[in-house]
Amino acid sequence: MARIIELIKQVPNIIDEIYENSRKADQFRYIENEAAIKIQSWYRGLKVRTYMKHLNKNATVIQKIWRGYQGRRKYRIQLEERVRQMRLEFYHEKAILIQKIWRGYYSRKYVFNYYKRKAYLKAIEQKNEIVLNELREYKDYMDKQEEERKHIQRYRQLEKEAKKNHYLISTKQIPGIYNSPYKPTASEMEYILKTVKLEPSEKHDLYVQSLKANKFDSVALPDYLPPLSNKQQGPFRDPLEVRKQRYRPFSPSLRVETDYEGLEKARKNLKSKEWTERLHDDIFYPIDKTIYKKPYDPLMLTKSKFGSLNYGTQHFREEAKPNEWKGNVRFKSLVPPVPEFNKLNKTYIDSHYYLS
Amino acid sequence: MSQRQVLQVFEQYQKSRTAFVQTVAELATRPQNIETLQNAGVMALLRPLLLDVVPTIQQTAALALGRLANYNDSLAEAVVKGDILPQLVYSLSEQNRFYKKAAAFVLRAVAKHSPQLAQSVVDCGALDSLVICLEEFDPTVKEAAAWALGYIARHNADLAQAVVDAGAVPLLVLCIQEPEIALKRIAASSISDLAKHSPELAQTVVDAGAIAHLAQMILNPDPKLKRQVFSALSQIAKHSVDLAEMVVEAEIFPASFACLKDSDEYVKKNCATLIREVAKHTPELAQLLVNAGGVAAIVDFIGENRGNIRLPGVMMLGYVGAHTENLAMAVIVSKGVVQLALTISEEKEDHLKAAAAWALGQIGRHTPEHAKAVSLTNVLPKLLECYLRGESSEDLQQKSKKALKNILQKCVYLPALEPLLHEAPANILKHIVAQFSKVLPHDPKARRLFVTSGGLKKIQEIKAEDGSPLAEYINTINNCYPEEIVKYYSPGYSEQLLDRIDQYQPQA
Repeated sequence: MARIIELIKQVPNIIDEIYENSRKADQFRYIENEAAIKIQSWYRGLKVRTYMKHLNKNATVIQKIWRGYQGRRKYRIQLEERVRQMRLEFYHEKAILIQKIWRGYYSRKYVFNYYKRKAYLKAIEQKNEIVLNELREYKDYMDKQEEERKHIQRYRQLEKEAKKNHYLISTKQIPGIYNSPYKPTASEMEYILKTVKLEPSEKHDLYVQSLKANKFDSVALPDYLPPLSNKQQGPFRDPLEVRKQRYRPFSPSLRVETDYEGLEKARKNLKSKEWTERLHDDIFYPIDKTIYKKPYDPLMLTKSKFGSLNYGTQHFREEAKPNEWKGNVRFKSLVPPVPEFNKLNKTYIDSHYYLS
Repeated sequence: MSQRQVLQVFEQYQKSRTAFVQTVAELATRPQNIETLQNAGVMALLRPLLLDVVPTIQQTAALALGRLANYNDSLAEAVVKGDILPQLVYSLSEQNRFYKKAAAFVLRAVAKHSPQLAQSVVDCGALDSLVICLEEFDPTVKEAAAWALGYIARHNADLAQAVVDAGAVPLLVLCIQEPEIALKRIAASSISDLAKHSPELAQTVVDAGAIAHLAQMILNPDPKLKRQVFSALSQIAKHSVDLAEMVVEAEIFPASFACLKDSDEYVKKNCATLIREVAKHTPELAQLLVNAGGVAAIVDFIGENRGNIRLPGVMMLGYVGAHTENLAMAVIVSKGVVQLALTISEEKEDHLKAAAAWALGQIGRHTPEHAKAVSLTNVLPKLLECYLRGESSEDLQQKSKKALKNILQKCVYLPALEPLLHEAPANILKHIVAQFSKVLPHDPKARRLFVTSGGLKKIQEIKAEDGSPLAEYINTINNCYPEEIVKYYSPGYSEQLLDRIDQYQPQA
């Protein structure tokens, strides 16, 4: 109870205190209210901002991923396009090369080929040279022949003349008219006069020559006959003819030539042949001479100049192992590889390959 | 009167007849006697003697007749009118070989003069008998018959066809193969006469296998035979491509080029004619000749000969040059153009000049390169001279004009054109100025040269109608130069300058 009394004692104090407190409370209520509001607003703001921040962060992540995806996709399309372009360019280049070569070939073949024309004209010039040379030679040859012919003709004429006027030849004592003592040399006619022989002797020479040359089969002129005199008398037949008749070979008629007992001999022969061939049509001859006459025929192997092959060799030439001809590289790509694809670990466009 | 006396009268008569015919035959060999003989009525006297009992008299009478008929047209006609031909034809198949020869001679002498006379010979049925004579053993008879057939066929295609129809061709071809040179010669000449008229006749000759035998004889030493052989081959080759190819296939080239160097002029000429006839058909044939060196041979041939002989050579060059530019170039490198230019300046006769001008035109018309090669031989002024000369023939004028035009239209080699500028008449000038107007806009050096050589001045002096192509060309040329230069070279510029002095006001 003391307590209560103590308390009751203290009531005015308490009231005072309450009063004081309420006064104090009243005094700071506004300020505190303001402060609370401030704190609340700060807090609320903070909360919202944090949330917004969180949302933004999320949005950024989404955008980042999306944009990255978009970018990569665009890049791939562009790359694809670029590679296609590259290849197109490459193909165009090669197509141009082919066209260039073909057009050049075509025009050279069918339209005009400068170098060929040049070579052709050169060849024609050479050919012309050859033809002209040949013609010139031919002409020279013909001229020479013509000249020779004329010369011979002239000489014949002179000779004929000389034969007629053979008496004009100079003697030891008296020079002839063609051998004038006032000239250093005798004229041509003088030499011709010296060389020609008179008609009859010439005839005889020719005759003897023809006799010796014309050796008809067994009618050679016998060496032991005395020489015929130059002058012949009487209307004789041509001695050649006479000689031919005289040395005519013996030519009996067919009947005279035939053996008188020919028929009997033939019969006999036939009979003996029939007797030997009674048993066999192919008769065995123990010694056939023809065998020995046959030349030795060596083997083809020993005759060959390349020598014989060793034993056990299957082929003429050792064939190389098939693997030796093959390279390690199986394929060769026509289009160079694109490193970007290897980075992305995927090829987006199939490469074009040759099968090697 | 004894029997001997009676016979003596006859003998004497026969002797006098023989003497008469022989004397007439002898007299008929001299041209101055012919008229007297004709006036003395020799025809009427000879005719009964053709039917004389004595063969010698018959033959000699025929010989005399032949010689008379050979002399001129009217005598040959007299033979026809005297009804002598049927007798001759009748006896041609009956009598001995001497008579046949003489009769064939008469027929030949008659047929020689004109187509009408030849036709009258054919009408008498002479062809069959002559063809039978070709089968005779004696070469001289064959020769006479072949000769007569050739003379008949020579005139026109109908007569030649008649000869062919009579079956003469195979026998003539057989005659070529005979060993006698004279017979070969005549047979070749007859074949040439047959083949010259039409492709069909030539084909008949070819079908009989003539070409192979003719081709064998091109290197025969006898010049007269060679003449006929080349003539026959060229007459065959001239008609068509096929025939020309047949001739070429007989491998006569390049062997026949050797004959261009022969000593006989007609051999050379006929050989060149053959080459020309082959070359004219197609580029391929011409090419064949060019490749065998024929152009060089022909150029050499033209250089060595003068006058009419070189005409076929000149034409051959023209034909070869006309085919393609390649062949024309081949002619140029074979120095054909130089030779043609020489021909134009050397020759006096118009037709040779015309041929050379034509050939040059054909060679120069292909490309500027060809035109330059032609103009470098300095031939253009000569062509112009040929064109302008009053006394040159119409053909020459036309050909040289055409050649000039052909060459000028391709020529861009100005130094050769400049001299022409001063001499050419308007119709040629047009082409020259056109060439200048094409070249000058693209060639500064030429522009300068054109002014210094006085070409521009000449251009200004030309009076061209407005709107004509010439005026256009002149305008193009003037546009290549500054205005002052053009004015300076225009006629009347000095007066203009003087006028300006009058108008000028001196200052101060």
